Amino acid sequence: MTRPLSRRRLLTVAAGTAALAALPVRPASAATEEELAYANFAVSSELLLADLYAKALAAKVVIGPGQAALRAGRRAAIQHAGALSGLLTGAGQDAPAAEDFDFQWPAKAFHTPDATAATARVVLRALHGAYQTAVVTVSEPSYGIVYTSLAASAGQQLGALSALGASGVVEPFPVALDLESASDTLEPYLG
Amino acid sequence: MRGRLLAIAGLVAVVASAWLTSGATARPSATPPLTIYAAASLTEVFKALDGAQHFSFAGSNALETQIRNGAPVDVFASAAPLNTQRLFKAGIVDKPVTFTANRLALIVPKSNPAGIRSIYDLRSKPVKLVVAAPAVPAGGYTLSVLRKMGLSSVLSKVVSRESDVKAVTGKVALGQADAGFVYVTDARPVSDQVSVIRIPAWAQPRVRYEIAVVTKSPNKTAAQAWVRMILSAKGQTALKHAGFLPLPKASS
Amino acid sequence: MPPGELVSALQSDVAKDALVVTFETNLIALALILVLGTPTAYWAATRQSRFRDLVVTLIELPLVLPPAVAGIGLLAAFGRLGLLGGTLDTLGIDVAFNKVAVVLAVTFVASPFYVRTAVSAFEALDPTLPAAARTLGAGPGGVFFRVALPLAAGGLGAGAALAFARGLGEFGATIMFAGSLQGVTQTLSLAIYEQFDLDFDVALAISAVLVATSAATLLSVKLVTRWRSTSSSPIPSVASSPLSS
Repeated sequence: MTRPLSRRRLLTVAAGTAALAALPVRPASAATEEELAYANFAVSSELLLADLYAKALAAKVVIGPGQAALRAGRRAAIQHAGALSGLLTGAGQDAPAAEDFDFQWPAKAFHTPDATAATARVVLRALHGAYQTAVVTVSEPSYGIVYTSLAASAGQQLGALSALGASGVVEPFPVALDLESASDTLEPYLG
Repeated sequence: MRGRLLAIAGLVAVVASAWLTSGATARPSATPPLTIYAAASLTEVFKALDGAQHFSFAGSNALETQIRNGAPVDVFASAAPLNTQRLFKAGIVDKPVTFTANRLALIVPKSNPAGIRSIYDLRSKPVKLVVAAPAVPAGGYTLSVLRKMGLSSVLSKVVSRESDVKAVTGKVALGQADAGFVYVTDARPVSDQVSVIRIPAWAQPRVRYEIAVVTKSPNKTAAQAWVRMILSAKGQTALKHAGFLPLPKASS
Repeated sequence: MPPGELVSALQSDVAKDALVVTFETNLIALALILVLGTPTAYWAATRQSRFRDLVVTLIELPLVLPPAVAGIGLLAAFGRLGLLGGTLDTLGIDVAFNKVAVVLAVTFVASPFYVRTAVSAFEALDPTLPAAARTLGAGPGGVFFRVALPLAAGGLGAGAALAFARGLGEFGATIMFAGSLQGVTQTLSLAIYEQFDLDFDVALAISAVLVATSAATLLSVKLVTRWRSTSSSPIPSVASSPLSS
């Protein structure tokens, strides 16, 4: 992050961070169970995404700017999982950890940069679609901010995949997915 | 007449003494069988692992109460840490060890009278749903699953709260109930009578089974050896073949 | 347990629901047993039919069956996949997980207690009395209702009380056939089992109610039998009913 910090940017970052920081103390009654279902799905999926990036990096087939994109994506996924865990525990539920899962990746998922990009696209599209629906489902505004932010990040990561050499894809209307569809898409990977 | 009576008495005495001593001669090592109280979901796998012991299978909460009230037990295997930990805190069992994990599934009878294809159908269709009582580990885990998926409203369709998970399985297998929440391992023995609907991994609660030796057990050495056997490759392989999950590497 | 705590434990929702379910279902079951069992017992006691022994054996079967087996039997007969399941379905009768199922389970398990005692009571009647009634012009119905029933009433009452007490305590067949749901099928016995490790005080209070009810039932049987045998009836038949010794 070498751009000079403008005042406006500082305020935006601060507001977003403040929104996230305020979440764990929000009373459980503010979130309905359905809204938290999205959080449950998302935290597991972000952990899946972090694992994807880690395995892609370990495969060592992506070099240069692609590697930076993978690393940045991994950092984002881990932070997302943390924020969503906070949201869940603040509402009185348990949050899973990476050890609770046995993620399943197809044999050649990270063999080439193209394969890596294709795998990442599946997971990111499912997450992005679920976040879009979550934003309009939740009634509590601060949750809405979180989901919007997470959706935007997923969109950025999808764009960053062009650094892996794959052609960049821009969809005019990325599909919003309901929880059941997003869950079905990621079920083979979540194990 | 008297002679006949004596002959019968003699025969009875011979048979009785043969029966009484047969136990001693059949097992040269003469180790008495252990009394093991285990969660209902462990019925098939424990009996297959070691048929020589005396088992009692029921809901872990009922077993905990019995042990707490002085039942003469050597080993306690629970489907949730809560029950073993409570007994440990009360000084009734030695330190418990986690020995396996499991996952929940939704089962429906093969005939599927309510036409359930996914968990979300439970919300939209009329269904006679059977679950384990909340105090039973399987019941608590079921509540967790429904809460994580935002489907707690489905509980209004429950028609019976059973005392252990095998009773839930039985009612679904018999076609009495339209659907029931059980462990994936419970569906296997009745796979020809039920269909399994997977519960997504992100909705699964952390299911951990714990095993402990009862402190006042008169066969402590044998009990500890039995627990070691369960934790060994032999026990863990048997559990894996029955459909139980290996423990995550991080925890033990 | 102090009486005050017992009363407050009984006022919990679990206890109140269990009381309502139990008494509703057991009273209906008792009515069924009396209506169906009395004529059957009279027939078995007074007719010399080939089928008599078979019928009596069938009626007494639940006495020797473990309740769990009774539960399986009920499922095999009335369950959705059971013998009569399809018939009940087409008739629109729902016998799964509701009070009807509890009534069936209790009736099945408790009826032998009544019928057995009723058969003995009818058998102990002096046969000259119904015969005399017939010669005086009474039809079979009149003989039954105005001679046999009143004379056997003490024994019938004792049998009814036994059946009621047995029905109150039924557990295995109920939980297998009807399931357990508070306010619908959870009887006092089922509630005790569930509350045992949840709230021991409530379990204890409910047990106390069951013990008290059973004791009261048995006591009333003794009192009624004694009253009948010391009443103006000159016939010793009532005194020889099974429970008065």
